[in-house]
Amino acid sequence: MRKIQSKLNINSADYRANSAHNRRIVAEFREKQEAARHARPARDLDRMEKQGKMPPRKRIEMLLDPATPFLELSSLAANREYGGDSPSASSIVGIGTVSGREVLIRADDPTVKGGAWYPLTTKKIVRALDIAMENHLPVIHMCDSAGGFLQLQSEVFPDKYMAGRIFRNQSILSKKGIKQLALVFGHCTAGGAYIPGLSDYSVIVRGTGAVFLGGPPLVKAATGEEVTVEELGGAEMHTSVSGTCDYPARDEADAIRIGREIVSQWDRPKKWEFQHEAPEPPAYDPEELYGILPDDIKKSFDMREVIARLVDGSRFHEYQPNYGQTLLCGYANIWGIKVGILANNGVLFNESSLKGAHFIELCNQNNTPLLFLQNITGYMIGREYERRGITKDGAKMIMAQSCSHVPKFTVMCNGSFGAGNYGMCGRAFDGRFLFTWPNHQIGVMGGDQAANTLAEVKANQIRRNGGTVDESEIQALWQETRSAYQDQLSAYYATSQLWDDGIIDPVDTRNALAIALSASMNAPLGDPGYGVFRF
Amino acid sequence: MSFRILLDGHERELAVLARRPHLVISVDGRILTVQDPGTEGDGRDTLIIDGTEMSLARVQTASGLVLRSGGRTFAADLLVAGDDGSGDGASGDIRAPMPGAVVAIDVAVGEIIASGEAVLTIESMKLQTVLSAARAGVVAEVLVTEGEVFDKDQILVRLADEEDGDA
Repeated sequence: MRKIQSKLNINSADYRANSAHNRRIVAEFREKQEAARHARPARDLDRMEKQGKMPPRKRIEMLLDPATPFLELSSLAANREYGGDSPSASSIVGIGTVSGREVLIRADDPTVKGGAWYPLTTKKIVRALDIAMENHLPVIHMCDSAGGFLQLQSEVFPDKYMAGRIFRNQSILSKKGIKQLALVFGHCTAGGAYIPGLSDYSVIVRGTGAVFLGGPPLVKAATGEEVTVEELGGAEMHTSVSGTCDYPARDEADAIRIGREIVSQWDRPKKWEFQHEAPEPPAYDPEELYGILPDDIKKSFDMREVIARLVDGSRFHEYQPNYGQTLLCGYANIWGIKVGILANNGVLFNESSLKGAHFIELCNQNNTPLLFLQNITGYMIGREYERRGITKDGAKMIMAQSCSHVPKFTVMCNGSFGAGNYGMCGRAFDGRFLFTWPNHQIGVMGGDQAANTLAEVKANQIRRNGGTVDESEIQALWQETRSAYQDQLSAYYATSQLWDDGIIDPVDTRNALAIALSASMNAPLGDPGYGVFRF
Repeated sequence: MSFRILLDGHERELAVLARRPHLVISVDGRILTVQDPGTEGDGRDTLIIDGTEMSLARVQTASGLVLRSGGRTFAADLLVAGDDGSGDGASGDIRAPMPGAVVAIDVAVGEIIASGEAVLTIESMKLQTVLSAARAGVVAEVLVTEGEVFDKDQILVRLADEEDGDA
């Protein structure tokens, strides 16, 4: 494979302006992430300490093998919701190594609102268990939650993908032979009680851990019975009488020690055979990514420059370099693992769509995981393109991509607008992981276009009703629509709603992808085959 | 197509962007202006690179070119011979690759531009694209104005050959 020859001029004014802009954006992201992780009222932290409890991140740190990485997912989930009362959606999820095994860790965060589950908490937990299922990753639950957030129960409890799905997923995981361990540090109340109940192994801490369907106040209200937490669902009772939990632990550190010992008994999964070589860092400095990404979402840039800063040795075997040039396709290695990359270098035309569909089929034939690098404003529109069948060519790409049996990964490098999001493996297409850069924007169309369309519709309505359209009114409507819409386009809005698996700093992308790729190799490949391609 | 050379064991990509008024080359993406490039024969020579003067000695051997400058010796070899930057054969017209609108025009009639230099920025499908010259030349005609909407394949700017003059 040939090394990409970078054409980046690191002394140019553009480079410097972009770099300053993106470093500012990344600093802002780091600040938000730091706050979501650690900014808590001292009162809550003190209370935990008095109970002999560790903060949840400390528990995770103790659980992980020393000096191994932890890829945290969706650290800014719920950042735009609930008045900021649910940092990281009150749940910490990530992939790490415990006793030499790759595992998915899911921890309640009792430092906010007693670890209550908000609607986005359940969405995050369901997604975490989906990840475990798709990638055959064992799960370690670290339980310490007050239960569902009652004020919002209609959004937490009843629907298909709400809390019930957590327990459904737990059952299916077990059926598939994917192991689960629950470490009960605090309360597991009501539905939450099923987390240890449905785990293959469970450890419970004496004094602070408790598991019950209804806590003492609920029991008193329902039956008049007066009972203490310890009697009702404490460690002693569950490990010696009910058998709901397996191991009692002296304290939290002891629970983590027992947990690590349990994991060390598990067999090691066989990864599927994938092509790999000795890893090698990129030949170009990944920090130069800051100078490549434009300071305006509308400005285009060459994705080869991005690829050169993500892949081993900056080497890229480009497929069909002269055809459909607005979609780059080719092979490269990330930390040694061979991937097939599709990256946008402009609007998707007929040729680029066909090339993309063909390349996806090649990767499936070749058992090569797919990596989509999105910066897409859509498929080309207009008379000529419709006559040439842009819709059916885009459909071929979507068909090939949807039916792929190799694992797929997506990085939102910049814009993601319209149907281009679909062809390039947007959230709906079951990619194994989807990461977002903080400069990313996503929407069915851009802010200006949405405002134009909506203002136009509104003006026509007024005209139809016999009214006259005041230009200043339209202008006001346009402004209002645009600013509301613009806010929803932002990466922070997207990650708040869990449309991704988290925002990452562009320079960390290579490492994040390597952990994700490695995780994906645990699950066998899906069934090959496609539906009907429209020719 | 650009040159590829082997310099002291390292492969470098080199492209000639312009020959007049000075030689402009890009080496692995770094753009350098070379004044007074001198002759091609063996012997001593002086060049001005980006305003800095440097002297060198040059000898052609059977195994390639050997250069000596600043007390160091370099072996250089040509791997792939490329385009000399005159752009002969490349079209002098800048055509619209897709329908869109003009955002900015970076050149004026009569201006001498180098191969690869930005000519105008267009916007289509919410994305701005810079259209660059496929060869060096003189701007003969600018057929659109900022904000103007155009169709695919419409000619936006015409380039003419540069008159041979003093270099």
